[in-house]
Amino acid sequence: MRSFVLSGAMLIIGLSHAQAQDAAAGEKVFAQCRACHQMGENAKNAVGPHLNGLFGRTAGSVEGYNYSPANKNSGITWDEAVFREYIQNPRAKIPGTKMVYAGLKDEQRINDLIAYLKQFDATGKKQ
Amino acid sequence: MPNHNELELKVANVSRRGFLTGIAAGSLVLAIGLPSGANAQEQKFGADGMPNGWRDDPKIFVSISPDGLVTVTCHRQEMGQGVRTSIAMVVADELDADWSKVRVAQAQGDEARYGNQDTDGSRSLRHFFMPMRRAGAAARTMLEQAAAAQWGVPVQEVRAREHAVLHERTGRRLDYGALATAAASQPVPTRETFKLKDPSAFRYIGKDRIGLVDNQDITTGKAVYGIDARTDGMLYAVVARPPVFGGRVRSVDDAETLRIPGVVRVVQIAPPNIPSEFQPLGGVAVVARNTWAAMQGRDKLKIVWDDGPHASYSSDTYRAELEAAARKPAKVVRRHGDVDAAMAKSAKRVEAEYYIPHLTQAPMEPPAALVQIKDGKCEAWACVQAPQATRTRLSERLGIPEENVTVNVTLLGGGFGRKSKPDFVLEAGLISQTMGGTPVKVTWTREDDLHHGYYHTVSVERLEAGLDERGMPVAWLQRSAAPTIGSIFAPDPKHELPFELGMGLVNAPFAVPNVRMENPEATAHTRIGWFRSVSNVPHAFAIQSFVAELAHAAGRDPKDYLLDLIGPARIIDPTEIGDAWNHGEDPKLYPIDTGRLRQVIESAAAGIGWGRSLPQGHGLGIAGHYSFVSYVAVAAEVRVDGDRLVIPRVDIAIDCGPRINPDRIRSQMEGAVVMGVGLATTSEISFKNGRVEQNNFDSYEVTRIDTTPREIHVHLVASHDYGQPLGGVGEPGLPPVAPALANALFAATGKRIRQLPIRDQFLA
Repeated sequence: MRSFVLSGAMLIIGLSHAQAQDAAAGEKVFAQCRACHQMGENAKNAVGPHLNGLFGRTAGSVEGYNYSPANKNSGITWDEAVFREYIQNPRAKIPGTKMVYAGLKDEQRINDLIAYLKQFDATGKKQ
Repeated sequence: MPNHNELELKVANVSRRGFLTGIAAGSLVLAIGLPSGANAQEQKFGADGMPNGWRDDPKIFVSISPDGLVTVTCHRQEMGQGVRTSIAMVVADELDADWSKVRVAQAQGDEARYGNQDTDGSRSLRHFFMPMRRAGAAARTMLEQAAAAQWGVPVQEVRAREHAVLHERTGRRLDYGALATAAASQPVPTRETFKLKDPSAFRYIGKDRIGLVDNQDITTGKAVYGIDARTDGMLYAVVARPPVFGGRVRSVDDAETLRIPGVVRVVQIAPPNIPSEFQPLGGVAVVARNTWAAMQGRDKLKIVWDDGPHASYSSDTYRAELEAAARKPAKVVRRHGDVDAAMAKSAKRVEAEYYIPHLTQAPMEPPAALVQIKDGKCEAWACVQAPQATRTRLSERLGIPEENVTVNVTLLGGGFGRKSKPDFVLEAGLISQTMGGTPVKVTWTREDDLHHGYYHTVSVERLEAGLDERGMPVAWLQRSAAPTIGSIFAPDPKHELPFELGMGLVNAPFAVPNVRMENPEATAHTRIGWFRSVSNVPHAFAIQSFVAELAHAAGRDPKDYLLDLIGPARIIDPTEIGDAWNHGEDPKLYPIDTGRLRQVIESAAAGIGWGRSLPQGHGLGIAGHYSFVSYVAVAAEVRVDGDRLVIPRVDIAIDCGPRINPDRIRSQMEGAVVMGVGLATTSEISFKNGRVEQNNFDSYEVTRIDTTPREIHVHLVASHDYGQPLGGVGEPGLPPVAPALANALFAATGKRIRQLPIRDQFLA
């Protein structure tokens, strides 16, 4: 009985985890980011900085991109938790950022987006 | 006073484009050197003074189909200002058409047919309101004649009303569709024989009844811009242009480029002769089956450039050169009284120097053009402000007779003067010709647009005033140093042209007894071009900032001081204060009316609540400026919030004469405020080693939503007297924005801004 409950719970977690990692769905979410941000081996800074190797990098650190002082001095290192908070309301997390984006509220879509972003290492290669 | 601009009068009197055509033919010197024997009959103003003037033939502009649909042909280009709506609205009103049955067709470039098509200089309605009224009224008269003939009654007994002609006595009625064919065979009435509507009967003109004809297409993505142009079998190209103006390709290795899947060919474009006018910069084009492959291919080109004569152009050292020039006596461009004597006797002297950097138009849609050549005929689809100039330059450069060159105009995703120059269309034409006529679309990336523009000039404005005991100036000395737009048309000119000096410098309408204005030499090291409101930007920033500085020195309220400086309401002949150009308009018809300038200043001030008490860290600023024969004032409230500049409210008041499309006047004023905030606070193009330092909107910063004023209030001081001449609308909103913001910032922080952009200068 006890082991049945556990495996049932694990099954549910496993399912939601599988949904959470849908990078293909994340690519579609990224379509709205693409107006300003590029990904991949040919990615350049444009209206926004490129997002290759985002997780683990320090905010305001991409060479050649002209950040707002707010972003540059935020002291943030991008990990999943802080990105999750940021993307829901960028101007609440970093007041004074010049990123004009109202925010992504849907948790599933945030999960998908993170999965998509995580595919690219710092050189833009898909892992 | 003697007219110091006498020799330049002739240039002033030919229009912007007439002036260009003259130079293209190598006759700048001739044009300037023409004897100015003041032959009044020869002087042409307004639309008459523009190349190819105007037409009002209803058969050119109006067609009616048997189903009653009215199509108005718009010969001016749509770039967000709403001209397709406004032109059609004027015709429809005089035609007494039902707006729901009116469509708009876009004219091709053909000035012999349509009259002048240069959509610039805030002139579309100013010059074509009356011709378009006459075209509509003549078409209406032809419909009435057709109905009268059909009914066998005198034409005086019938009248057009709401898309039909009525014979009231018998109750008969024929709608426009039923009359279309018969009306078309009626003779076109002469101007003396038909009546224009009484303005009290206007249904659309001056009203807020209709939205943009292109709104639906724009909001649903159906609108076709230059960047969207497509045709069968087309190829796509991007161009690697010399990073420094005047540079050229020394060698190119395209081996890796040609290995990119989709890349078809690499084509060199020859560098232009100098002056380069509207010719492309030259470079290496990568032609591919899609834009992405072309861009990938361009990245792989290995080009060795010869940077040419401007390789050391750097903004910081150039600024020092302009400053040095502005600190020495120079060519006098306006003189009243004896400034030196008055200055020496003055109670107090104030001086200040202002720096306004290069800017770029940065339209949201970068330049784009599609060109094909087939059976000896060239056809282009492009987002151009001047389709006729595009046509003549394509003809000349490709060696194809002009009658075999067709220029189709798409919508423009912003223009601001950039798209007056068809260099990008010529690129597409040259590449297509090299490819045997295959349709080729040239795409400019954002980086291309920022790196290879026709930049707004860079200026140092030095001002010095001598004040009397009351704090009012008795002497005013100003030196304006800036490279001229003339440099793209003539070899190495050193001085501003009359049209640049006449943009808010020599025609500053102040009640000061002793004035001297000078224009030091300046050399252009990049392509200088028109940018919305052109030289009014630096002149208004410097003068309106300086007026506020004088007010402060005199211990007075800046608004009251500004009004006192303008003096009592009076009419000034611009030619008498040294402005022979007067925006191309007749100085008798368009004198400077200081009463109107005073009124917009009062309106903007009243709007923002001038004089109200403000919380700590807030400030109000004001500026008023006359340009494009319209009067605009801006009052701004700013607040410093930590390290951020916030703009809670801007009030902008315009008097542009009679109002035609009030919704568009408001939109243009709102747009001018948003653009003005950008150039005041963040926008700057700077050069280092001949190269532009900005790459994209991260570094060339335009206004974003979070820095836009929280509220923008537009006050139309425009009149309903349609007998009065029209002023411009597209450009005059911009010049007073930056000085109003800088003056507000001074009120908020005590920090005087003497260089743009403001960025974080208020923190220092």
